[in-house]
Amino acid sequence: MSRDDVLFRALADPSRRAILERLTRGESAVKDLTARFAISQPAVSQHLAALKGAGLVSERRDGRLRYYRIKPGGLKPLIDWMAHYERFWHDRIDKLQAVLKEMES
Amino acid sequence: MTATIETKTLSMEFDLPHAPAKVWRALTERELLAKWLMSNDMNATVGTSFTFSMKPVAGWDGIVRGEVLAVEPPTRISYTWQSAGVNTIVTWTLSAGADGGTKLALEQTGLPSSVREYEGARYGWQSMAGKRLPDTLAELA
Repeated sequence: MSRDDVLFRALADPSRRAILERLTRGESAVKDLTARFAISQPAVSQHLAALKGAGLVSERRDGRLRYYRIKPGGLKPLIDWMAHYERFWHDRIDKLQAVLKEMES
Repeated sequence: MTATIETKTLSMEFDLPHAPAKVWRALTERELLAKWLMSNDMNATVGTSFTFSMKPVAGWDGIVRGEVLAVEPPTRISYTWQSAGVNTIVTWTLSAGADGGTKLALEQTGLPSSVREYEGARYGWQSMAGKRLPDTLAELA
């Protein structure tokens, strides 16, 4: 399987997508994720392992607790860069227009 | 299986009701760039490096690094634009527009197009990414 296949398999599961979406709000401990989703801790851990294997999240240990966070760049193959930058530049050019208006000619 | 990374070019054009010399300043002067693009240490000089930065968001460090490739006042500036592991080249071209205004053309080359291979899978992905993730990505640069 290519890395992208692994990524897609990881994202194919709704629970994993929900966990990932939750992590976009910030780092979470496994126990907090378990409390939030109606699935067992072993199941959550298994989902996190799949997300980690796909390069989507990274793990940090602090004593007996494990924390997970979104890994920068993990979604790179999935981002539609054309659409992303098109939006980005449109927003910025709007701001540029405002700056030009404020400037003295 | 080795994936070949194909890239695409984004081309956009804007009509600005301001003289090219003024638009040039907004594209090249640090303080003005900071007002519409990002905080930066730009020196519009060929061969110099710069960093654009903004508040980090989930999954992105908020940093864009680049090197100035070409400067031809007041018609063209080109620089590399490297962020989130994607290396592109941004080129701005200014030409005379209607009524003393400026036609501003933006070209960004080197954008990965691998996402096209996944049209089928994108549907499920987008339903997950429906809310927060697009906001996050919109902040990406």
